[in-house]
Amino acid sequence: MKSQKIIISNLQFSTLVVLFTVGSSILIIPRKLAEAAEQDAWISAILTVIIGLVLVTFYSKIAGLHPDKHYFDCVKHILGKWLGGFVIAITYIFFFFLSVLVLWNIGDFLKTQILVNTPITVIFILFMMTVIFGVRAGLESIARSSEIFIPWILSLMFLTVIFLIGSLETENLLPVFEGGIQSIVYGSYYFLSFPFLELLTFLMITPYVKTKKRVKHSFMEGVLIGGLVLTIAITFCILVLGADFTERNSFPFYVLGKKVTIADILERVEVFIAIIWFLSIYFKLAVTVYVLTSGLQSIFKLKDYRPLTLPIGMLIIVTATLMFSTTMKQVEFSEVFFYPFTYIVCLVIPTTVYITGLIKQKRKRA
Amino acid sequence: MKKGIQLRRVKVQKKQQQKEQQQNNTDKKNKTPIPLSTNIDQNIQTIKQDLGNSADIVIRKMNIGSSGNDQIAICYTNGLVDTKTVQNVIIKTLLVDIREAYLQNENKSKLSELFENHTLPGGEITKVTDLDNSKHDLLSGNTILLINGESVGFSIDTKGWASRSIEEPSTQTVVRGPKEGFVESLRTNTALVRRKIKSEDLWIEQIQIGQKTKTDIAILYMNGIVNQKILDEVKTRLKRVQVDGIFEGGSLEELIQDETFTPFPTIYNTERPDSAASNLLEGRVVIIIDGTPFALVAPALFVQFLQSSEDYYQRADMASFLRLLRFVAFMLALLIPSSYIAVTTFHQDMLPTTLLVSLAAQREGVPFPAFIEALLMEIVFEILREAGVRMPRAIGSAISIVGALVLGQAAVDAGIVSNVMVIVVSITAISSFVIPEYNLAIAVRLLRFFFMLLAASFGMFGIIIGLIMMVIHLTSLRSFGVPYLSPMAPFNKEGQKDSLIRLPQWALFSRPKMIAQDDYIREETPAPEPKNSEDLKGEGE
Repeated sequence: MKSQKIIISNLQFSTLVVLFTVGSSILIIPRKLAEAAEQDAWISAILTVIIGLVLVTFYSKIAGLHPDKHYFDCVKHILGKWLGGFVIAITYIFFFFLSVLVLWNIGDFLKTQILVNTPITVIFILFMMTVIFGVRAGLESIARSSEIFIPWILSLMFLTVIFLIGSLETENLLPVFEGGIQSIVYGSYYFLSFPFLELLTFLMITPYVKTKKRVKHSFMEGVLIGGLVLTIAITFCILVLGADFTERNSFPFYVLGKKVTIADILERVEVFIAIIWFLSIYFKLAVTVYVLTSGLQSIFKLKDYRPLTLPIGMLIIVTATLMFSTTMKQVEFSEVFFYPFTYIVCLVIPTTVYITGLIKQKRKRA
Repeated sequence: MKKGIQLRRVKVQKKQQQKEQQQNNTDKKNKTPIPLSTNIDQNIQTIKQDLGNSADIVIRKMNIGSSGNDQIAICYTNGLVDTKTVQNVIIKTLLVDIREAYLQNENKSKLSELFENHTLPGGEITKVTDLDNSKHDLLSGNTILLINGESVGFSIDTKGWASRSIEEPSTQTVVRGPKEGFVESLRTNTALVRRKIKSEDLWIEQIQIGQKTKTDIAILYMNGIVNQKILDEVKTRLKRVQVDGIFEGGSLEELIQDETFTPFPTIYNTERPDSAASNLLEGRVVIIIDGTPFALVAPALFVQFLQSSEDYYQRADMASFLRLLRFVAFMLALLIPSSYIAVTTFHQDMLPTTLLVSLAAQREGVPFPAFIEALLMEIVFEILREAGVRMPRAIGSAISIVGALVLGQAAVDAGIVSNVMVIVVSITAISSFVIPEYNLAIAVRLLRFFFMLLAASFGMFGIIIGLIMMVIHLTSLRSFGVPYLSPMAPFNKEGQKDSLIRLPQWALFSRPKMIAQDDYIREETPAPEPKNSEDLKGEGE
């Protein structure tokens, strides 16, 4: 098994992208967007999804530079040992904080909404154990499981949306363009960095995709579906709850589920939304932890990544527990540090890498 | 820790070396077989001695010529041979026909040549020259013919022991479909399959497994359809098996399966010749073991365990409905008790108010938390079920009366459990009986407790965590190299036609793609296009 080459199909790659995009953003980003763009959040969302598609095209171009090499190897090849090593270290730190934040998100949600009496560390440990179990089973297993779960997630999402159609209030969208273009772009700043720029993680697993020529296609498919799900979630939050209420809730989409009432039989389907959120966030964390461990494996040229899963998992749990004592501290951390950091690591650096790579390639030809 | 592993490895290596040495020794023994002696009395003596004068070995010495030197002996195992054949045919031929022929040209030819020329009665006759082979043949039901003065013997196929007649299988029952099932005899079983597939491409290879039992095992496959890689894998795994004895497919299954630490079966087993035959046509390998009516089928997919052969004999829409129903039953059997625990302990707000009120009223007198209540009832049910399987038939009615009391109104009246809990346990039980394959049903029984534990500590969150772990585990499983969850993951569009639903027969023109990798298109039948009904009307009038 171990010596076998890892291959994931293009469909599996797309489903992973969808889950990664939806995971952890779906509950949090509606608030962020409503904060920035008020009732124009939906315009901001659509705009960002379009930018996201362009971004992903750019990412697949980077992957196309050296189709058989993952991002770390690619960077090392293009920028050389020292500069490349520095860039890899920064990117690695980014992946690490990304997984810490994702784990914190799920813990925070459960602690405040569902398992109020359970210590947050217990939730972290349980969730991380499941993630480690998946990562040890291998990327192929994670990818195949995503294929199993995606129909469930999409149909639960669809059902929730259908149930909510009755409680839409179109006045909530008015007035359009109140904050002007500025606030819409401000919303996009958050939305672009939250799920879409993080998709850089997938450059670490593009070498395993079966048909490499269609990576761009699968990438865009995934982002389109994931972006659509998020856009619908945001739009419905604004339409049902109103911008003001969306902004004041930590998890507005979850609150949305509580609003559902169908003929006194189906009430409070927020558990649907909780399930969507668990599953998608699981895959987001699993992919990130896989990238963390296999990245470390390739940096130090180890034979197997599996022994690394447990220490890295523990490190993530400890960091998540110690770093943020309250939700406010996490929000502050994200605002001040993580969003700009994401832009540097996932936009500025890849652009530099890509341009340098192109120049090198041209020089070789010439 | 690392040192410990290394030490263990060294130990294992040492053991292996020892084993190899032992094997070499036994191999050496086998390589130099003891030839038959020319003295008939000595041969008889050795056979008797080697078999410990066992009571069921019959040896009869006869004088065939006019002088006292022309002796022959027949040896057979009483009970393993068809006594009628031995007594009426073989002994009669020897004492009458062959004797006459011998007396006519005495001293001119050797007895063995005579036997070769004057064909002996019996289906299959082979020459034996060494003692080990003759003993082995003797113990597998052949009759051995020994000749004085010559170091050759003959082994005559006279196998014929009492065996069960072909009956309706007790597992995998159907309403519509063939009612014959495999029996304990290997030959009958291969014949049952051969009768279904009269193709020259049905190839049967036979090997023996078991150092002591020497159990015959037949490997059946369709040449040209079977995936050569899978076939080779099956063969190498079977050849690797070194055990004293095999009595059932289950013990062989554990020795050749891909993954040991899983509750899920990765090899399918069937008691039905039609199911075995259709699996052969899909490119799978069927392993039939002598002495058990259950044939093994490899590679097996998860969906296969939720299918019944009747699905192909009923209408497609009905079959699809039943398959979906089985899948729902599988999920219910797995999750109903844990969902009950999760809802009553953590998520009371998910229930409609009226239901919640009546539930709370029922649980008022119950002294235990929901988890203990459910655990209690599930364990009692498992005990009852095990008792029902294991106890003598004659006291069957006793258990049903006691069972009804324990899991019924009496338990509720005593205030130990609530009414709802009884319903929950009943639904779980009935749902688990819907799963057509017993070995998947027992996997569900085991996993149910794991889910209950998760639900009791983390509610719905725990159940989802459990589901994720289960699916991750399922996707990591392989059956002889084929992903266990295909055609769902990896997703395959053609495979969907015949997994959770079944499309009409004319749409099923492909074999499972992951199994028959190259040649996966079957014969194609066009969809039936009945004549316009108006034409028929015209004929009628």
